[in-house]
Amino acid sequence: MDNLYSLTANELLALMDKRSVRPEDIIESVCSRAQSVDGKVKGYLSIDREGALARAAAAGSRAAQGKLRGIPVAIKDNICIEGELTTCASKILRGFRPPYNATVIEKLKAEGAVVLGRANMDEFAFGSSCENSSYFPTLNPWDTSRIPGGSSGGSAAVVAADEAVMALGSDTGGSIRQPAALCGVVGMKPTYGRVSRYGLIAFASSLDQIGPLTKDVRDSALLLGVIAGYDEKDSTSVNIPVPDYLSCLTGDIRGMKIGIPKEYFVDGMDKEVDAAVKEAIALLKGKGAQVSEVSLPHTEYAVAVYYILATAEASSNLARFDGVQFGHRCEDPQNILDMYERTRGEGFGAEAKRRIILGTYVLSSGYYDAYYLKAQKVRALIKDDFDRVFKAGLDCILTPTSPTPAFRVGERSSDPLSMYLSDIFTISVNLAGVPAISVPCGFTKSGLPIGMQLIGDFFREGKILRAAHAYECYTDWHKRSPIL
Amino acid sequence: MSIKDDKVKYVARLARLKLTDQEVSLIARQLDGILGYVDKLNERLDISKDVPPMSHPHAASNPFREDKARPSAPSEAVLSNAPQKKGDFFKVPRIIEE
Repeated sequence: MDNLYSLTANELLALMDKRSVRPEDIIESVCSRAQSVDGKVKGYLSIDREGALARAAAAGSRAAQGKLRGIPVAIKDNICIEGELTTCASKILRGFRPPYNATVIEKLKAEGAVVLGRANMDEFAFGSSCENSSYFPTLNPWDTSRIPGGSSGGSAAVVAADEAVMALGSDTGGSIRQPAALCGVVGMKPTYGRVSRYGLIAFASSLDQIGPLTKDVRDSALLLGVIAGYDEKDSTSVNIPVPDYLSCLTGDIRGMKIGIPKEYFVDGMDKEVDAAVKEAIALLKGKGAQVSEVSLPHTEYAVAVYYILATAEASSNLARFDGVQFGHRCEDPQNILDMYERTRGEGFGAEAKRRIILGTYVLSSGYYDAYYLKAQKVRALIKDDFDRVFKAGLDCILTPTSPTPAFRVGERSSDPLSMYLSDIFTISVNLAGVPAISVPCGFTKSGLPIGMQLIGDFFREGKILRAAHAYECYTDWHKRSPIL
Repeated sequence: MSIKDDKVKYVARLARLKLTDQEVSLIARQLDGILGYVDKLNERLDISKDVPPMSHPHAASNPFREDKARPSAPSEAVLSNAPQKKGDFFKVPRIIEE
């Protein structure tokens, strides 16, 4: 039998059904795997082995209940767990233990999942490389001289390295999909409003969504089904029924209408990425998908719109970190203003400071119309682009997830704009609010994973899961594992 | 539009964020690059006035719940992360001058 740590949640659940494996065996296997490889990957901020074993034993004794019984899950460090350190990988939240659980944590627990540890991230989810963590950078399991992507870099890396069976991340401009692509795993950003954000420490509230990072599409469907749904504690969650996503996985692509936006195949894109995605398109066509070229004409403005709106919202959301109620407070403040300014100056890292300044600037008097209001209008045009092609009958849109494979540690960290452009293919999806999934679609000659993105219409996660799963049935990229 | 050090200092004050002189000049230089990039919205795109600004992916509606009293989190739990507290309150430096 394969090592338990290398199996998917669906495979492990089948083994537990046959009573050949206990939840404790799974935790032991995954924890010892993490112990032997996390020194190289550094995906975890902490692992709670003892707690996980105790919870797994409890899950086992509750017999065969729960859709995720006994499955160890890694949680990004910006999702609140009651009584457990939750710091957004920031110095300003060091020592913070939330007095409540995020709704997604309650839902995981209700289905028997076992929280295994906290996954590293870029501070407050600001970044595309995991280098902005205030603790340490996480490294790519396929090549530890390279970044895993970000901001959910820890979540993607621990799933790729078999240090967790599945993970939760958050995605504001690509923070689940880009690291999933760069680490060779499956990552989904659900429709805005599909998953409750109660207990997710906010970055940009009109864009943030929580979503799954998994080893295959079936696990993605399973985990999404558990975390999705209306929550009265999140007024932006939408009250429509959650379909059975697993039943959407038919294993075949025939008849699906797939659009290829010409704006996503641009100069400067990595040639191997371009070739791998085009090969995937040809394969799906050969299997009976109806492929056509489409146009999303406002794509080129997405990064500019995003960095105005996301930083504006972030500067407002981060106002709460002021040394009053939680986290860091500077020593011996002279007065209240001194306390605010020094607490924040000491607590925030470089990228957080840059975004707070940019966001405050675009909202400040005299610049609001030129930047913020203008960006909101262009956002509407970007959403219209998607509405138009989906109304014309498309089932999904297929694009590369990232213009390049994983880049080297330090390669872009001194140039914020080049880092922002790593998200060029993922950002429009958040601006529009539609769902998208990244799945592995090849490797470079040097062995780095390549991902493709499938984008769906609002609340049509079932369709992109079906297309992604069909692609997985025709290929075996998702079955490769890094050698560590 | 070029952004100067004194503008960054002014914005940092608005954001209640203490920056070193070194951080100020680094951020000023980097913001020049970023704003130069986002200025493509103003240079290349003509937006007619009738495009409504979009603040949210879904049509905005205010969800209401039943107006019924229910218990809130215990103040002990809420205060457990406070850097400084006194009784049932968060303690901060004096705000009102004598």
